[in-house]
Amino acid sequence: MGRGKRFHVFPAGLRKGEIMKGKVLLIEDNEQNRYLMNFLLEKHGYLVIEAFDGPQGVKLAADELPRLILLDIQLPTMDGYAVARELRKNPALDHVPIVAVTSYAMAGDREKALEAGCTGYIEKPIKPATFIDQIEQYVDNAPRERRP
Amino acid sequence: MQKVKDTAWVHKICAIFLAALWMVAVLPASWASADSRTIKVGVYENPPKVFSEKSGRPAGIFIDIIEQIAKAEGWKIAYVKGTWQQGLDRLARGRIDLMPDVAYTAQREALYSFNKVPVLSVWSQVYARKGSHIRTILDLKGKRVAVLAQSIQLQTLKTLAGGFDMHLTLIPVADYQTEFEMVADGRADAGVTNRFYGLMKARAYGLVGTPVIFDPAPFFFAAPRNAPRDVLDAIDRHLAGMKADPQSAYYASLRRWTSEKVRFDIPEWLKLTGLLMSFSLLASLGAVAVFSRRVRQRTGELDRINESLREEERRYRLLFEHNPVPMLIYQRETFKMLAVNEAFVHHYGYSREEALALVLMDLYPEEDKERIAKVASGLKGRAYVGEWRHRKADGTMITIVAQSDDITFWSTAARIAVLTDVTDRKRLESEQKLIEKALRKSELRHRILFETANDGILLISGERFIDCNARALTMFGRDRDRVVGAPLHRFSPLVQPDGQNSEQKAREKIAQALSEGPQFFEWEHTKADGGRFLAEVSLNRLELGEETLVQVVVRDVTERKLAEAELRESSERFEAIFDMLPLGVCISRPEDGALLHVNHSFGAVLGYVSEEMVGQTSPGLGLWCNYEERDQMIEALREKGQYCGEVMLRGKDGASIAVNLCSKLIPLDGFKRMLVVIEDISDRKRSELAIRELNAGLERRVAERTAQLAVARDRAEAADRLKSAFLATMSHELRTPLNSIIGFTGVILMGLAGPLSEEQRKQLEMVEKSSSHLLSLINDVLDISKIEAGQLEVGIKPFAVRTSIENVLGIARPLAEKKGLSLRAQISPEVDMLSSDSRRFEQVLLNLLNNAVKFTDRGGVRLDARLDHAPPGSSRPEIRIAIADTGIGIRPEDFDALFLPFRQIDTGLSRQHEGTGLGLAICRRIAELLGGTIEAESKWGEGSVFTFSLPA
Repeated sequence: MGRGKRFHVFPAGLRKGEIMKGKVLLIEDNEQNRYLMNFLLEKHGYLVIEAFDGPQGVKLAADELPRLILLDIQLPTMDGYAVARELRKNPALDHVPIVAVTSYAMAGDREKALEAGCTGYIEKPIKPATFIDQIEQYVDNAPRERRP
Repeated sequence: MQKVKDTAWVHKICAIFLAALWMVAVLPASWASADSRTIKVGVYENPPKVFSEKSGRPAGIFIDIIEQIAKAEGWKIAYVKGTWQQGLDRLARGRIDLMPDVAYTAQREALYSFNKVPVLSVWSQVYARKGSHIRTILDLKGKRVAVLAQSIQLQTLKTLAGGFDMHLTLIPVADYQTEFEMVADGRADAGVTNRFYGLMKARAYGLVGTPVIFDPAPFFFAAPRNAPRDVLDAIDRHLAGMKADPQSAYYASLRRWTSEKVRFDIPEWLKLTGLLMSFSLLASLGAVAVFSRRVRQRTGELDRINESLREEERRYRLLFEHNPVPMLIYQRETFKMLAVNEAFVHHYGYSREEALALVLMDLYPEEDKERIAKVASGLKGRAYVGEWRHRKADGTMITIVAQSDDITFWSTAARIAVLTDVTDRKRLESEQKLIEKALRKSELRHRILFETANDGILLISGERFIDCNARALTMFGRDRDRVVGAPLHRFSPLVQPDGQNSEQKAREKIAQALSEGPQFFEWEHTKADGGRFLAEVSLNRLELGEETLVQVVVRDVTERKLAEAELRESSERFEAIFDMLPLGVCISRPEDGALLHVNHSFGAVLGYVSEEMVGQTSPGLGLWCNYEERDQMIEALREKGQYCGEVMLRGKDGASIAVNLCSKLIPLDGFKRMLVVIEDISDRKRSELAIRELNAGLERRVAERTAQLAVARDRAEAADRLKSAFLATMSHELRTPLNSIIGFTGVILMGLAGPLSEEQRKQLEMVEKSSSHLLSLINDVLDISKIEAGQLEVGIKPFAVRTSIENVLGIARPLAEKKGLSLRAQISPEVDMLSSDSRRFEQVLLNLLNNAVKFTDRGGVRLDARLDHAPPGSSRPEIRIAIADTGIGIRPEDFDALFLPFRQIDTGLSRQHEGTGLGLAICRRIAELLGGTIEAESKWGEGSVFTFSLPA
C-alpha cells in the first residue's frame, strides 16, 4: 500500500514551466488500462496520482485532494461502488468529481454508479480520441477549489 | 189509669190485626181490553166474596170487580150458577171462562190458569160451638171437622194433621152453609170457613170462632188451563190499577161488603172497628184515638166488653204468633224489626233474637236493598203489595209477595207485613215457559230440517201424497196443490227402466215398506215439462199418532250418474296414459309393499311383464338389492312425504339395475298409497364410469408429464443461470483486452506516441477497425443472450427525446459524410420528452441509422420523427420515427427472415457489408421490451423505410 507514484512528464506541445491543469487520482487495478489513461492524461497536462485498489484510493484522495477521481468499478477486495460511497463520506471531497470508468456495461450499472456517489460514467473501452473531452466535461462542471 | 192504658194497648193490637186482616183481604188489582165478547163466570155461594142475592142476582167482591173490569173492557158477563164443585168442573172442561175466588195451589196450577195479582188474601178460621175449648190446632185431635170439598182449607188441614202426626176426621161438604149446619146440630165438632164468611154467619148458627186461624191464601180468578191468557192479563192490568187507587171500585166494594154487613152481626167493639175501617183502616192511629175516646165516653160499655176485649187481645196475639204465614212488624222510620211471628222464625231460619236485631233491608239481596229502601220510605199512609226476593238465614233466595200497611205498635209508627212465599209457583211458571219454548224450538227445527233438506221428502197416507217439502216441489216442477193429494205413480213414467209398470211397482214397494221395513231403490221420475230424472228413493214406515204413514225420500242422482260416467271415462284415460308412460310407474300399498298398479315401463325396466308384478309385494319379488336403501326411502316418506334417490333394484333375472327412484305418498280412492317412479340409469352409470376412468388416466398422464417438465425446467433454469454467469464473465474478460487494443491503437494513431509512416497508419487503422468490430460483436452477442434469457433489464425514465435523436445523428453523421450521403432529419415540435430507457432507445436508433447508411451507396438517409395519435387499443399517443434510405432495399422473400438473429441478408455482395447479423433482431426485441414496434417497408433496388414507434 501507499505505493503512490508521481509522474512528471511534460506533454508534447507544452512548454516547460507551463502550469499543470491539476491532479487526477486514477483508481485502477489493471496495469495496461492504468498506463493508457495515465499516458493520455499527462499528455494533456494533468498530474496523475495512481492507486491500485480501493482503500489506497480512499487514503490518497484524502491526502492529495485531487481535482478529479477516475474510478474503476471492478476492483479487488472493495468494489468501485463501495469506494465511491467511502469517498463521499469525506466532506473535504464534496466538490471533487468522481467518474466511473468501467467495462461493466450492464443495464442499471450507470444508475448504480451515480447512486453510489459518482458524478459521471464512461464505458470501457475508452476512445483515446474523445476520452479527454469526456472527462473535462466533468472537471469544467465542478466548481474549482483553490488551495491556499 | 193503668187500666185505661192496658185497654189502649189491647185496642192497638186489635187495630193492628184488623189492619192486617183487612190488608190481606184487600190486596190486589185491575184490568184491560178485549173485543165485545161474552165471558162466562161461575157463581156459587160464598158470601161476601161471591154469592146470589135473594133476587137471584150474583153479588159480592169478586162480582163487583169482574163487572167493573167487564165494563172497562166492553165484555158481556154471563153468570153460570152452581156449587163450588160444579164451578170447578165446568172450568176444567172449558164450559165457563172464569171462576172467581180460587186459591192458588200447585195442584190446581195443572188444571187451571190463574191471574197474577191476588184479588183477596183471606184467612181461614175454625169455628165451633160455644164452649168447645178448641184453642190450638192440636185441640182438633180426634175431632170431626167439616171442610169445603176440594178447598184450600181441606188441603191445609190434611197437611197440618200430617205434620203434627195427628188423627182427625175431615168431612168434605159442598158449601159453608152445610158446614155450619152440621156443626150446629152436632154432626161435626168444628167447621172451617174463610173469615169473611165466618164473621158474617157464625153467630146465626150459635157458633164462635176459635183461635185456630190459618192460611191467608191469596184468591184469584181462574180460567181453563188452555184458554188464551188475554182475559187474565186484562184482569191483572185492571186489578193493579184499582189497587193503587184508594178511591177505586175495588176499595169501594171491599168497604161495602166487609163493613156494613159485618157490623150487623158482630159485637159492639167490632162495630167500632168496622166503623173505623169504613173511614180508613189505614189510619189506624186515628182509629185507635177514636176508639179510645169512645171508650172513655162510654165507660159503662167498657166494663161490659172488657172481658171480651181481653179475650180478643189474647186471640189476636195468638193469631199473629201462631199464624202459619210469616209476618213481621217493623218501625216505619228506622225499618228496625219490632216483632216477628213463629212462622217467620221457622220459614226464614233466624232465631227470634237474630230476627229482632235485623232491619227490613237485611232480608233483601244486595242488589235490591237500595230499591226496597226507596219503596219502603214512600209507603206511609197506604197499603202496599209487591213481589220481592228475600234471603233466608242460610242464604237461600225465595220469592215472596209482601203485603203491608201502617200500624201503631207500642205507640210507634210501624208497618206490618205479611210475606207469602211464591217461590215454588214462580219456578213452576218459569219451568213451564222453558218447556213450551223448547217445544216450539224443536218443532221449528224439525220444520226447518224438513223444508231445507236437499232431498225431496214426501208423506204418503194410503195411496196418496199428503205433504211434501219445498225441494220435492222443485224436483217435480209442480205446485204444492198439484202434489198434495196426487196418487203414488203421478210423477213417474208409465214404465220404469227395468220394464215394470210404475204404478204396480210403486204399490208393491209401499206395501213392502209397511210390512218389511225401509226400502231403497232407484226410480225414474218425470217432471211437469216431461223431462225425466233418475232418483234414489227410500221408503220408511212412520207412525204419527193414530196414523201410519210412509215417508218418501227422493234423491236426484242424475248428476251423480253423470259424474260416475265421467269418472269411469277419466279413469280409463288415465289407465291408458299410465301404461304408455316411458317412465316406470307403479302404485303400491305402503303397509306391505303390494304392487296395485304397474305400468309397462316399470315391468320392462326390471325385466317383467307388468301384469305378473301386480298383486305381488316388493319383498316377495326381491326388488330391493339393498334393504338399507329401502329403509332410507321409508324414513324419507315418513318425514317429508316424498323421496328421490339413486338405488339398486334387482331385475327378474337377478341382475342389479341402477335406477333413479322417486316416491311419494298420495291419497287414492280414500286410501294412502305410494306412487313410485323409476328411471333406468344403468347406461348412464356405465358411461359415467368410463368417463371417470378416462379422466383418471388423463390426470395421471398430465401429472407425469408435469413432473417431467418440472425436472426439465429446473435443468433448463440451472443451465440458463450458468449461461448468464458465463456471459457476464465473458463480456468483461473479452472486453478488458480489447480496451488495451483499441486504446493504444487510438493513442498511436493520434500520434501521441510519435510520428507514424503512411504504411504504419494504414495497418493500425485495420487493427482499430477489426477490434471495433470485435467489440460490437461481443456487445451484440451479450445483448441477444440477455434478451433470450429474459435478463435484459430496462430502466424507464423521462428524457429529452429530441436531444437523444440529435446525439445519435451526430454519431452516424461521420460515416454518412464519408460515403457522400446526405443525412437529413425532421423532428416535429411536439416531440419532446419520452418516458423510456434512453440508452436502449439510442441503441435502436443508432443501429437503424447505421444500417441505412451501410446499405446505401447513392442518395441519402432521412429521419422523420413525429407524435402520432394513439393506436387502436391504447390511450397513449406514439412517437414514430421513420428512417428512410435510397439503398438496395429488401427482396420480398427476405422479409420473413429480416428480424431473425444471425441472418444477414444475402445481398449478393457477400460480406460486403460487415455486421454481426444480430442488429435488427436486437432492435426489434428492445422495441418490444419498451412497449413499441419496429416495422420495415421496402422495394428491392429502390430503398427501405424502417419505422420505430414507442408509446409517448
